[in-house]
Amino acid sequence: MDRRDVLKALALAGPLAITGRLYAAPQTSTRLLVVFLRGAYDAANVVVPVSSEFYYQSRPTLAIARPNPNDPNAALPLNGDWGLHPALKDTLYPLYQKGQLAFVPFAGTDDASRSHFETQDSIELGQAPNGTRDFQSGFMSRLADRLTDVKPIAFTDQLPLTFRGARSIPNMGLNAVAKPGVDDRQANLIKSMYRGTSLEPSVAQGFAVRDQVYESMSTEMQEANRNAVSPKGFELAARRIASLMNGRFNLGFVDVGGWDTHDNQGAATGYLATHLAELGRGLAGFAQSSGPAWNDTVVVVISEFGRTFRENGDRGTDHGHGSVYWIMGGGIKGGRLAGAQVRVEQATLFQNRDYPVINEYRAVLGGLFARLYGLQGDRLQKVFPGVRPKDLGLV
Amino acid sequence: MAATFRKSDGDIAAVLKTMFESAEFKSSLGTRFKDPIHFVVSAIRLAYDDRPIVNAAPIQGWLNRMAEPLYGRQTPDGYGLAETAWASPGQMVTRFEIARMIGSGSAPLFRSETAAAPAPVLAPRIADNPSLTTLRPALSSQTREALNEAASPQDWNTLFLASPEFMRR
Repeated sequence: MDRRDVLKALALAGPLAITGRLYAAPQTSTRLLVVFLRGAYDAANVVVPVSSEFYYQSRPTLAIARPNPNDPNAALPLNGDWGLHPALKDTLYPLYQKGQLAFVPFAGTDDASRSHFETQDSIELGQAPNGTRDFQSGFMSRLADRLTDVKPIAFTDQLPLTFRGARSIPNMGLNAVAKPGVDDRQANLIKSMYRGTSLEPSVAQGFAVRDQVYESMSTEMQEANRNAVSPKGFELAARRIASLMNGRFNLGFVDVGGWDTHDNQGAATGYLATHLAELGRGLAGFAQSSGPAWNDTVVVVISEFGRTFRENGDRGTDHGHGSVYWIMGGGIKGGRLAGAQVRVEQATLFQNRDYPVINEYRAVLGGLFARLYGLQGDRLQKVFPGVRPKDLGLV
Repeated sequence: MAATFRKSDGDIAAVLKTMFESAEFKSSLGTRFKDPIHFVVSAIRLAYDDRPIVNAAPIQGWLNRMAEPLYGRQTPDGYGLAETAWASPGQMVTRFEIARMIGSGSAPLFRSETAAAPAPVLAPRIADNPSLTTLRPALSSQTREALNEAASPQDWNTLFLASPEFMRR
């Protein structure tokens, strides 16, 4: 073999070796986790439009400084126009640099109500705009119905709207998992009482998931005893989600609250920075705890809307419109800003106050599902009726 | 009811008695799924009848666990009234855990902060409650069979409070 053959062989092997896998056919090994930031996080201070003079004029006390290697409070460079909040330096920034994280700016819905619960509902339902809402049909439930070998779960105390639908989908909050008090004998007796009733599937699934979660937690607790530091809050939940999704579940949903920063939200440090750092540790912990399965995993981070581009009189921001969505995964083509973009200046604001929405979320997620699961035509229309999917080439 | 109202010169108690004794009222029972507050309060009443609760903190804790904390709804639409809002797999299992806590009588519902000595733990005896004479006939055969398997009065309480019949009002 001479040098030329070696180069040819490397060129052929290259793309496969880099991407690790291809997502051409419906993949049941694909794992998808949707993370909903409830309360509308201040996207403009997390993925910062550092090339925009208008941003610095609009946020005299809240702005994150332009990238500067000597300033720990400065944004971290994403590209010439955008920077990342410094609270994510050790957690999500390395993933971005490895190409495992992409941001979709100007993302969101056409809903301009600026009401948290109206917009959260419409996002979770994902139905055609202007139709009547069916509160028993969420988009993740419709997605689950279109996939084979799908094992869905919501890591929440209540079943979220997005998982309501034809099938009974289990849910289990992971922040306070304790040894169950109801023992196996009692559980079997309780199950027998529900046999043949409408609640039978819910009760059976509830006990099954409870046991799986506890079994997985027991392993974690043993491991935690060997390590001195144990994670808390969302990081703990996210690591638990990763271990539960290893083999047991492949379509998950979790929500994180506390983003409604109307006053004193802070800038490079402060409330939002602290909360963001916890989210970053959680998502990076999820990636790490996923192990090799991270290469087959996609995480989508969404929020109901963005916040006002200009800061308010209380050093906070109010309900806005366009947000920035995040797509993560070990096999994605990230390390970039994806989707349509406009210059960030006064003239491009929506109603002269918020980011516009030019990457509608159903189109973005529809395009992602088309790639991830090979969902096309009618099958995709069943998930997002009337959608025209937008392929951002992320997977 | 209108006749009772006129006859009794507007005595509300008499009017309600007429309603409670009507066939329409009876046929409306046992179908609606209880939300957490209804579940907990009905369980406590069945367990302890009219004995005053001194310490309501455990009850608040149970409501928090079942995601219906008092005055804790984040959005202005209020807590859901439909079964779908409360009967998910995770919520059912949480409800059974709380049925066990109430059934075992281990929560310090009667321990006052000022009392010198803690009140003794008192396991309820739901099976002996007079209301059971009316509740028992409505139980399905599989619920009765499960209750027959109960290993102790506490176990019986737990199973009864976890039964499909007790989930509905």
